[in-house]
Amino acid sequence: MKKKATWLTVVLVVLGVGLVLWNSRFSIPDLQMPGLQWFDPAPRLPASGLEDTEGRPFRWDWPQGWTIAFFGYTHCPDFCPDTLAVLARVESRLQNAPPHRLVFVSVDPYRDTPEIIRGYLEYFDAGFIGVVGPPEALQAVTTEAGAFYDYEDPDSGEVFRVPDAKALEKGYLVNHFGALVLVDPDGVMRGHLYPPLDEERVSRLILALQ
Amino acid sequence: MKYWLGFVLAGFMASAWAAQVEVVDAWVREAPPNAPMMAGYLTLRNPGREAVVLMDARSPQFKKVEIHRSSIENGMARMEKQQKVELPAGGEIRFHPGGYHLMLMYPVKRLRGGDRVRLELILDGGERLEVVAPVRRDHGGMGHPH
Repeated sequence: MKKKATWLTVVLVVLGVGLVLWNSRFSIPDLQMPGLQWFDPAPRLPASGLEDTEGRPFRWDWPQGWTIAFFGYTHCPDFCPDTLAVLARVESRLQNAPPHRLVFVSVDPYRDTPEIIRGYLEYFDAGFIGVVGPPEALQAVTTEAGAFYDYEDPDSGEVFRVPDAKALEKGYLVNHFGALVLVDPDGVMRGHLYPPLDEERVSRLILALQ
Repeated sequence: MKYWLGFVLAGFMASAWAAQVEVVDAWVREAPPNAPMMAGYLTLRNPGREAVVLMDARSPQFKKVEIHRSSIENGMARMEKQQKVELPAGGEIRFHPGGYHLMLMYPVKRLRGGDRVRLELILDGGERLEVVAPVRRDHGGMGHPH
């Protein structure tokens, strides 16, 4: 009886944390560098719940190639624009890159509307795909992707998951995962590329995503 | 002639007194249209023999300016508001992408590459430094020169 309860706990914990791992039919790209982590087996990202900035359902599986996702927010003055500028520069310079797509997932759905995200991304590269969705869907995806985030009051340092009316009026900071999340064509999350995200490292990565 | 020389000397000494702290390489990153937040960068040098503390910053072109510091900890990108930044005697502090920056909040009107941002830095003791920072489009990469 006791053993059964333990098993049940294990199963529930595994389901709750979402660690259902898949052996993807895509092999890990042949590239190693500092701050680049590959996963095998790896979690499949939930296919539903998020939308692109045109209002179409966003799917993580994309048969044409790999997806490179960055989780950020448009009230971000320093790290996000820096990273997006690097990605845009890589896109404009890279030749003979395998098919891939760049996705910006807003982790601030309380302030980032599809219109705001679209305008923000177009400034860097019109080819970027902006993605946003209700907090529950975002939470499900970020948990599977290992792309954690929370919000913080800049003065008190208080951390919260849902901004209340006062926080929305005053403004808040977003602590967010700073690495690129690498998703294979089946929608399985296969890797993280940690900062520094400079042109050389990002270019090497994209060229390896065969 | 004598009068003129005296005037120049007095002026030089006054500025040496007041502007003990030097500000170089100030710039503001151009932001996407309607971006509510921008970032300003600069290098502060303190050639003096005493530490100086940067207490605050402001600009007539923004509703609010704060001093922030970005960092990456365990893969998480964070920003932390700084109440003050101490400039050691004989030292310098570089505000750069991915580190210290002036968080320029809610521009009064959109700023584009080539525009200038007037900044006022407030030091301990109430001294003020006027800085003009050009807005420019950046290619990213955490402040590495391209």
